[in-house]
Amino acid sequence: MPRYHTVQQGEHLARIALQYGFPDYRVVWSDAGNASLRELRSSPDVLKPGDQVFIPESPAREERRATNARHRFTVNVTRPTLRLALEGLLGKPLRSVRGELRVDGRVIPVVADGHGVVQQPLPVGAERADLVLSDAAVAGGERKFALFIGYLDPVTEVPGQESRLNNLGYRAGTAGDPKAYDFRSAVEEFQCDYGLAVDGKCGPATQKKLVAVHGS
Amino acid sequence: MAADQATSPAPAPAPVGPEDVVRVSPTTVAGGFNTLRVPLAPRATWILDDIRFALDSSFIYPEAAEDFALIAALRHDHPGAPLALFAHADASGEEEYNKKLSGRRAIAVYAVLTRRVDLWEQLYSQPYGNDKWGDRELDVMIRTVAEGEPTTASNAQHKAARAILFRDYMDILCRDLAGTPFTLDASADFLGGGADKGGKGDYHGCGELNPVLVLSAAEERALAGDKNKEARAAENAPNRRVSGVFFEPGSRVDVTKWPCPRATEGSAGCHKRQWSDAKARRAAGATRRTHEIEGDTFACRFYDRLAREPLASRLTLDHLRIRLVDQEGKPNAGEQYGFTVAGATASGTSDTDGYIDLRVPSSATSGTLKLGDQIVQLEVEPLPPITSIAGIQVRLRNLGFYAGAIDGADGPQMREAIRVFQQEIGRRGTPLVANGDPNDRPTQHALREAHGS
Repeated sequence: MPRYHTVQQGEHLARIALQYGFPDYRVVWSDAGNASLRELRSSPDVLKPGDQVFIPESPAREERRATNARHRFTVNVTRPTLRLALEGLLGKPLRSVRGELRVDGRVIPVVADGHGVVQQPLPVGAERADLVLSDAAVAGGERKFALFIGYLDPVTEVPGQESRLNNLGYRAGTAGDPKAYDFRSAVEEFQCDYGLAVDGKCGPATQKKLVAVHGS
Repeated sequence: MAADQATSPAPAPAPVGPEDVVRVSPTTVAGGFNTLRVPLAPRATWILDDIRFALDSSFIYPEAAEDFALIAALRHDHPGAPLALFAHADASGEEEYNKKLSGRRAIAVYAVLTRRVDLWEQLYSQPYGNDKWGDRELDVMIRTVAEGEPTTASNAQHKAARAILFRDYMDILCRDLAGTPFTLDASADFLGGGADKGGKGDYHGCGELNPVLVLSAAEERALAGDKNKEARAAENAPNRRVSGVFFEPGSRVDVTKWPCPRATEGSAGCHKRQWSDAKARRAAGATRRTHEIEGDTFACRFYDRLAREPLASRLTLDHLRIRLVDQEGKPNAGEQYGFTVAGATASGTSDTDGYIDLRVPSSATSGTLKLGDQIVQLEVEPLPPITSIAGIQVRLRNLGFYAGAIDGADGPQMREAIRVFQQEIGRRGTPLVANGDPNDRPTQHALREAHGS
């Protein structure tokens, strides 16, 4: 039966879709019932808590098999990827830097490519991963980051702006207030670094640039 | 034996800052990614005050040895933490002049730390405005050096002789708490690693952009005019300083991306980095404002961000005076002692009244005093910032207004103590509203003043 799902903090479409029996989230995303959501949010990876996702009729698949025998069914689930561009102080790419990713009790060694990018497919349910970079190229020698997957809000929202600025090293804080001192400081520094008019307000031009620089 | 008179902020335990929590999107669409950029993270700040320099000059007086000793202590506490120097001027005179004069002070300090006598020779042979090193400066150096080693009185009119004099004088300025000369390595110990010949990332002059104190409009009016020049300069003394910022160990910046202009360059390169409301920040208002309390006095956004880091509070060298007495209360004169703090051991003997003077970096929480076979552990209590509840509680307690717990919690007992303090200080001439509010800024100013730090 068709229905709506209200997005919670930390959720993203791939996980929501699987919850309702859709191994391929694109079936949900491209459904006509989500036309307005697609217009509002440019990417299914970045939804806002409170967004309404239309869940179409369940995609029951019919398979015929003989009884009294053991059968193997395979479901292809779209797995999200963690794609991180790692940068050192003042935005210098951390090329070929090494570290490890701890997710769901597993320890996965990771190596950044020649552009400083780490890519790692994740279980669709993974919400939390710890990234430990232990490399002389990283200030502090070893640094630990707590990654919250699916927690990045849309750039139109203040928390989404804060997260992107924080990820880019601007220390915007987490007050959720566009007038907060640290937030204005971070916005102005970002605007200054990327050649935008410096006014401390995260308007449409700044938002667009934030998405381009942050990558999402 | 507890030494609870330590009087400046010590670093708080490393917090889980916003930089450690990274909110990312999963990537299922083509071209999407997230960026994770390691932020510049200051860990401690060192300051060389105006009083350590000759008037309007980059020449450093011998008394600065006190402050350089603190750099050795900071390096002990933060092994591998690189340093960047930022020198500041006050707002009197031309902006361009102030930028360059502060740049010369930054160069002078950098040269001491790295023993770059060639940089001092440049300051000496290329005067700038009132910053002229002459016979008076040479004389101070010769007298200072001669006291240590009576044989080096030299004819410093020759460059080669000056080089020896500069070097000997630098060795006296730059010693650790035990009195051993130390040097910093230009490539390993500075944020820019010496990659830029003009010191980008290593030493900079910020000119008048970043005052720690902005006088009120009424104070400015009262100090206007030539006849008040000296009084105005005295009020603005805290603004003239050289700050050394120690960063997270292992930090190193790409000097081509570093935003500050070189120490020898003008202020044009600073303009881009200014707050959009920079003018208002530096303008006199109804009341005097400080960077410590109001926080909005710096015009350079980049430097403001570094200075606002919770761990970047200024560290100082505190003096601790202890009297040694025997069982009958008679002073133990001439008793030898060794005092170990921040990795250095200073030794000496008590004076005729039994007193010994110890120097303790405010970052230290303990020191070890050795008297003959006896070992005494000294515990030092850190002083939290004036803008924190704990900082208010500690100061109120030290002044005798508060006897409750130092727990950082806003409660009725502390509020009552604030009210009593507000009434007392009100009686002494500065009227305060007795509202018991720990966030009341005039009260924070008065409390900081009454406590002395």
